[in-house]
Amino acid sequence: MSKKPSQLGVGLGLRAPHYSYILENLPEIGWFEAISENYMGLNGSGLGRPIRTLEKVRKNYPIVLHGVSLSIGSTDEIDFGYLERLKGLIERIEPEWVSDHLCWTGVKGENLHDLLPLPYTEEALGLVSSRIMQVQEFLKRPIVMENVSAYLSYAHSEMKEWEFLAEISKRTGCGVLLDVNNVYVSAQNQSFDPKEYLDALVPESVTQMHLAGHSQTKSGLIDTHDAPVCDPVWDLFSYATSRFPQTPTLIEWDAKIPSFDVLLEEARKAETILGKEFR
Amino acid sequence: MKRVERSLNLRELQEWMRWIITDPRGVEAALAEKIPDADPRDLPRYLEPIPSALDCISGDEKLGVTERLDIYAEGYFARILEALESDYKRVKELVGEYGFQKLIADYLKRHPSRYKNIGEIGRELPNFISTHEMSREFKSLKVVSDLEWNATECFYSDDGNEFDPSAFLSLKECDWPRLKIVFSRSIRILSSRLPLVEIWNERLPPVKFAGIDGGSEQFYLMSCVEGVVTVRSASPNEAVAIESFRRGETLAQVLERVQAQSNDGTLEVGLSEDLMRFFGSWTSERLITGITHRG
Repeated sequence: MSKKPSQLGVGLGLRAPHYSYILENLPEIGWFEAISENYMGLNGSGLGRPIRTLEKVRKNYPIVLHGVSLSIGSTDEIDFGYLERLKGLIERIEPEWVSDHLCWTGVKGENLHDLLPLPYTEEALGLVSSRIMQVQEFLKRPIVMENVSAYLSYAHSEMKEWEFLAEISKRTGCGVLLDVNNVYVSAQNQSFDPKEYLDALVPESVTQMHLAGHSQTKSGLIDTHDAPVCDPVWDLFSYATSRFPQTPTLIEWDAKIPSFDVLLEEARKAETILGKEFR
Repeated sequence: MKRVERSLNLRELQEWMRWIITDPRGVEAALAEKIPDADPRDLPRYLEPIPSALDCISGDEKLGVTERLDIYAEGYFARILEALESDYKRVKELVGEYGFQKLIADYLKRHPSRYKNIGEIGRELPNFISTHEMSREFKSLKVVSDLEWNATECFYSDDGNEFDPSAFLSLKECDWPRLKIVFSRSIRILSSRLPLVEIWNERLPPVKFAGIDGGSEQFYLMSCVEGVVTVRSASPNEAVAIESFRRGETLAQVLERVQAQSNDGTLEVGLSEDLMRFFGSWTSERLITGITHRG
């Protein structure tokens, strides 16, 4: 089952409304990305139905685990209880790789359940690098870090986001999950050139790419994952594929989830741009 | 890039951001620095950490600082509300959309999420409801919220092994008194004066049970098979038998417990027949995951 990352092609986010369809029809798609926390159960309970479903999907497809609560940029202590549960899930599912977000999600023990941007300072660089090294040591594998959509920036940042991301990867050996939609959303909201972002990343560090839809609101673009990928993001993805060829790419759709066929259409479009055949 | 005169360290920045995003008043009112007339237990949620990080946030002609912070503050509440609406659908129907928003806003003041999984954030809601003013108006609110949280835990319980019913046939007569039954971890025995089956299956409009707090206590059995949570009535005999087996007791001990309850006059007669009937339904409902008669 295991393939080289470059052979995976285009994948889709695994979401509950599609479980039955996927298991009954085994659609032609390169791989699935599963949200780690959805399969880690409740504290004091088991892992329940979701993990059984994921195991069935795993028998037929490569799986990538994608977390939302690692909170790698938090100044709280690393939550090794969480990492222990993640490690158990990794051993059970044997994913191609494990990713999470370059952000913080909470502090003082509270979880805000959001991907909050970091200030791009030497202090944050040191803290995040150190924590990634600890996580990688604990999990006994390199992890992959995703850039988030940001609706604000910090006046005391000392470097650009893309410089920060590239330096994190250089210092820790972690991979980069380049979310092309997030680059576009942040570029629009904060007025920078998204291609400058892509140009700053070392091609070999980019393990995976994400594509998703966003919403236009009076406050700007919001990363809602509830719509098709828009044309400017497809254009940016084309540019990205020239910089990072044959990089496994995933379509995310998390709200107002359409039928599986709609997701497949998006995947086919990505595959055409990526220039590879499925599986 | 603009530099602020005194850069906050990352900890200070994150503590301030946590406050402004979660302050129940919303960003604009929180920044206006009016101390609200709040329950003293909730006051820490309203107190701005020092130093302020407001000057660290960049705005521009597209969008000001307040509006940018608003995106995160609104997203925080909306995301958690959506998760709780999913887990507490019947509670929401009972108190209405606005009532539910008020309930959750109050809940978050006292119980901000400390969980990695957003699906776990409603764990303390039933107990919180029992102390909330709404439970005086909606007398069944605590029971309905308990039912829904039990269903969440039931859904996430580990499936047991597939049980082969022919294992019963292989038991010798001398094995039966030592028989122990292992049940699916999803099983919950509930007791309530409310018609939980009708409430769970949404056959009863919320208005019909909103004020109920009386009636006779009934037992219910909740379980999850193939990802589907079901609730059905259970007799007092069955409830006692299941609880007894789940404590690791043998069939002989289970019979004693059921008999003891029967002697209180609360139980129907025909214990052996009852138990054989239970074995049949537990098997067909896939509630049993194993049996043993040793040790």
